[in-house]
Amino acid sequence: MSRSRTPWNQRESAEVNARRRLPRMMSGYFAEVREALADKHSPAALHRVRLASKKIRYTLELFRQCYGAAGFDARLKALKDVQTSLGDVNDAVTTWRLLAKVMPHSPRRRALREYLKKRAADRAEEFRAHWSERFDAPGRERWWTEFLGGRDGTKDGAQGSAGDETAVRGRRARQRPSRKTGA
Amino acid sequence: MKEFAHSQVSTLLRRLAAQVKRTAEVADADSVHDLRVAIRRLSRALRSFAQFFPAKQWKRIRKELSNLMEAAAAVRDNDVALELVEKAGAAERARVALTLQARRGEAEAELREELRNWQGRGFAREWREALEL
Repeated sequence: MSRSRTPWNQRESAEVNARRRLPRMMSGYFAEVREALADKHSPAALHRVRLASKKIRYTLELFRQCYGAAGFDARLKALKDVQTSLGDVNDAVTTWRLLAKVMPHSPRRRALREYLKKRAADRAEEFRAHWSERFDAPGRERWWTEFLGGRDGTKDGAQGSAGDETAVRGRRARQRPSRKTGA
Repeated sequence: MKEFAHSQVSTLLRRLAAQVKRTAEVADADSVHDLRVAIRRLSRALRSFAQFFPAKQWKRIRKELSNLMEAAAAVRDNDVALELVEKAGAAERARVALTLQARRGEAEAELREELRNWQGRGFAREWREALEL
């Protein structure tokens, strides 16, 4: 995402500003994640992706009212799915760090460590698959940028999203803990 | 654009104030989660629309939000750990679960005290003035 201190043009409306800036921000996000994922086995890379995903999601949410609700919400759901996988990886890593402080060495501790390591690895793999097969599948970046730039041909930009996201949600529902999404 | 930015921040500040009140009363896992989301949303709005606010003020407020986020994270980390430990097959009465519950209780007490301090000093009104909303 841009680090410009004054990205918004004061003389233009929020809608005009959003259509001008957000497509570039989104493309920056795609580029950042692709670059991070090129470093295939790095937990630090996944952490960077997680932070970048949060940043873009919360920035986009600020402009929800500037877009058609269905198209916007379909895209935000796609982003939330990315965040959920990454959040699951982080939860397992954070939990292990915490347990390492409070549990004495024991077979039980080793078993928990293995469980959490496997969980983190599984979720990381799931995220990578989701990213390459769905979120960053051919045409998806354009699906985002054309919508955010107001160049989407459909009525509200929702086209092409439902099937993908239903499949993702189904998989998530089978696998994730009960805590809320959206952090 | 400035009006839009101010309106967004004003709305998010109002939501944060409501959530601070709620979590000060009931700091269960969902409430702490919602508090963290409210903090993140306001913090991101301040950063995104920084050009429309006095620099010293938005930076100071983000720092305060970051501190509160840390207090909330201490509670949330224990909630997540308890859930995962249970998923891994540890009984609720297992020593590790009891340890996590005790730590969670301490973190919750600290968070709620901090939230009451925020309420006591009228942070929302103070920030509205500082941000010239």
